[in-house]
Amino acid sequence: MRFISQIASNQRVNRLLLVLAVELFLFAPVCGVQFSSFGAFQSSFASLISDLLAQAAPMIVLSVGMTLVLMTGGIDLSIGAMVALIAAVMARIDVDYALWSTAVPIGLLCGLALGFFNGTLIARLDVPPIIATLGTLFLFRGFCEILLEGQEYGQFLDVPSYRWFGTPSGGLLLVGVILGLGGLWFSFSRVRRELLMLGGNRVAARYAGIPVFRRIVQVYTLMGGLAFVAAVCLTARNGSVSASSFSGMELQVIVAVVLGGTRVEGGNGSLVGSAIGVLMIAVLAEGLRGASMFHSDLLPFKIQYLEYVLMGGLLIWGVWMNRQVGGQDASH
Amino acid sequence: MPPPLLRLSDISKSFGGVEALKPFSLELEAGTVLGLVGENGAGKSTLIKLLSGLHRPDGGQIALAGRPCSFGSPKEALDAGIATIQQELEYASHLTVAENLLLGETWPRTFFGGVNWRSLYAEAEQRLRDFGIELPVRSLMSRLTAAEKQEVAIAGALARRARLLILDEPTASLSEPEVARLLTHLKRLRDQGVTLIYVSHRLDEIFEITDRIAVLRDGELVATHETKQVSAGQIVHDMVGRPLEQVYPRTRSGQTGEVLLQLDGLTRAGMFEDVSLSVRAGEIVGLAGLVGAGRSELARAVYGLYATDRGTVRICGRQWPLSGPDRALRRGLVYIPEERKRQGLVLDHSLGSSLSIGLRDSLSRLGVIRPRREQVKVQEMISRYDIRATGPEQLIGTLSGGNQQKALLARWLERDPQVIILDEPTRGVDVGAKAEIHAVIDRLAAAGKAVLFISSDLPEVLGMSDRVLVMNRGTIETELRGERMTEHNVMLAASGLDIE
Repeated sequence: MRFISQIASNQRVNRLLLVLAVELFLFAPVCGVQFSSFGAFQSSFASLISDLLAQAAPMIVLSVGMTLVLMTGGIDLSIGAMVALIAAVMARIDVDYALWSTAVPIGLLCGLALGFFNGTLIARLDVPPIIATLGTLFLFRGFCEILLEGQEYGQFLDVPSYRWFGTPSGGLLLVGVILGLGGLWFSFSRVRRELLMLGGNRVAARYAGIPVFRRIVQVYTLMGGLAFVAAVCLTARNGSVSASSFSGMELQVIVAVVLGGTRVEGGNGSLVGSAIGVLMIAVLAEGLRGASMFHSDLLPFKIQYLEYVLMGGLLIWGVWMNRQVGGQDASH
Repeated sequence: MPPPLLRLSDISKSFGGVEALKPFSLELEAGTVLGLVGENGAGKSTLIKLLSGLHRPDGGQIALAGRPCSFGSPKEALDAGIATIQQELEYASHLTVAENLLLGETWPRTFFGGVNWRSLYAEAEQRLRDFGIELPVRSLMSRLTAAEKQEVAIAGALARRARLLILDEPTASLSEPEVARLLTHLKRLRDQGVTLIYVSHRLDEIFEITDRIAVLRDGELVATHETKQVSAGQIVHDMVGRPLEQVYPRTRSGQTGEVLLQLDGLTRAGMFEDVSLSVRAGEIVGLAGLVGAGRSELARAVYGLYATDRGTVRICGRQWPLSGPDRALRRGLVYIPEERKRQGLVLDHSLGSSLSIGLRDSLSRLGVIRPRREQVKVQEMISRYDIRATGPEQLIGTLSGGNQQKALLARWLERDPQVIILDEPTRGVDVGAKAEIHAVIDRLAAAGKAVLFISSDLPEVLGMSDRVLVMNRGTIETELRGERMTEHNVMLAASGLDIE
């Protein structure tokens, strides 16, 4: 309960929720929500929300990892490529019905290993995070191309109950477990304090006996594990993977996390804020998609093309707003 | 008779109400070398900053060769003929020696408007040769040794027709042969008519090169001596002689127990060499020495922050393999660092979380910090150490220096460590907080802890400690007890001189 009251008292989260509500209200009519009767509204609104949730679930999972990464003062640009590579590895292990016992565990190991590799580069070899993960972005993409040889692979949807992870209820469960339970534990954990101190002042963290290198490697490894979960989610919806799948996803996740109030310089961060950030972007994308279907003749160009313009604007506005609210304690 | 090269009349400087330099006058004849000595914080750096144009004096006048002058910037001072070789040299490490030497000047051009590199290198070589050294002018500045960089800086200053050359602790990072070489260069410059101000902690060098010695203490020029007519003892006496005696708390019995911290022959090349010491339960051992003598490095190595080359450490009788601060904390050893803002705190975190981070293991269960317990503990620490803040939510960066330091002490002492290493715990704190910190340290010893106390404040280290070890250039020079614990003896030992 303390947790809920803590969130409710957080000005930044409240403000984000308000923006999200306004956004939903504005976009709801173009997304097929009907206002003719209460019953119609209820069912159409519920279907919009579950669509949004299914769509946003993998992004929320990734945003949890990215929040932790940014908290330590790092960044991970490789996650889009990492998700694709994990999916590619799972797709290439060509044993359709044994996917659950073969490809999935191997995918998980692969995710953890890729994350561990990132973390090791950054912590042990002292490569700046932005460069290290830019490098691994290309590496992972390259491996994708080698593995997939320019073809599109997909037997995911043939696997019994795999599809479930792409459904609203599957997404809800994953988000519930990872953000809900994991996030709840994390928000009170000792590790969170250590990461905050590490991101705020690395020298002081070392002097305070925080195992700096180990924590950094752990955070990037966790990011890899979460990339695996996202890969399962996404392939369960798309049913296939190609060498260029999920590119640009890392930037969307970073936008969402920063929008949610996490400081890029490290030293603070909010998982709830990041999840709301993801939803804000999802509502925007969904709204534009809806608008283009219903009102295609309003503008001289496809209304969907506005997505990036609005996302950019939202990010700049969001960061500015965070600065305004800023000046509060970064560690609570 | 020509006017003296430099005449300071009644110059003074204060910073925010603190008098860094009280009004004083000084004259310096052309072609002579003035040694400037004083303890840390005596006002030497302030004087250098006034002369090099970094600060303007509040009152008084600087006259160069009879002409009054006022410098608004280092460049103006340089143009007037005063060049300063800072302790921390500033240079562009990714540029070549030649480029650094001619930085800020008009470079020779080719017909097409590009840089005429050949004549640039020739010019640079000429400048170095004028100074009497040969260096590869095409190599990167970062490839040079500390001594070579310094020579480049001096050669550069001379090429700009400096009449007065100020050297601030020029030998701090040089080896013995390099020091000898530098002094040879400087003597030749003096014979060529360049005037020098030589600032150093090292009295042997001061005596070797200077004609006169000016002693600063607490912002005051206490004496100037002809070098030939004064003894090292007199200089040290002038540096430390202090009218005010402060009272230091002593509630501890003086009874000591078993050895809790023991170092045997601990060595890390280039930092400290063959250090052996022991601290018993209930004892405060002072570690004195000049800045750069290797005291902090030694402390950090014992805490497990640096690897060592040789030697062993025992904590509470057990071998301690120096395997990192987290292990050291679990063994019951804490190190409270000298630079609290850089090494201790995250300034935009709350007081509460800054305190509880030190107790993160005992406050948590299954990796979760227990909020109620944390709250209680934080309140306890705030009142026990008398940390003045609006509450646990206040950002630690907005507290005063003294309260930040008390918070840092509270963070670590609340763990109930057996061995405590304090590195300059009262630096930059006000008098009141200083006394409180002294009382805390005394209580630690009274409670049977072993305290190793590093301080550059001589009266403090002597007043607080039961015995004092003096470090000089990475080794323990001597141990002082009882009668022999005087500021005079500490300064002699810290400068590598024999105790009388």
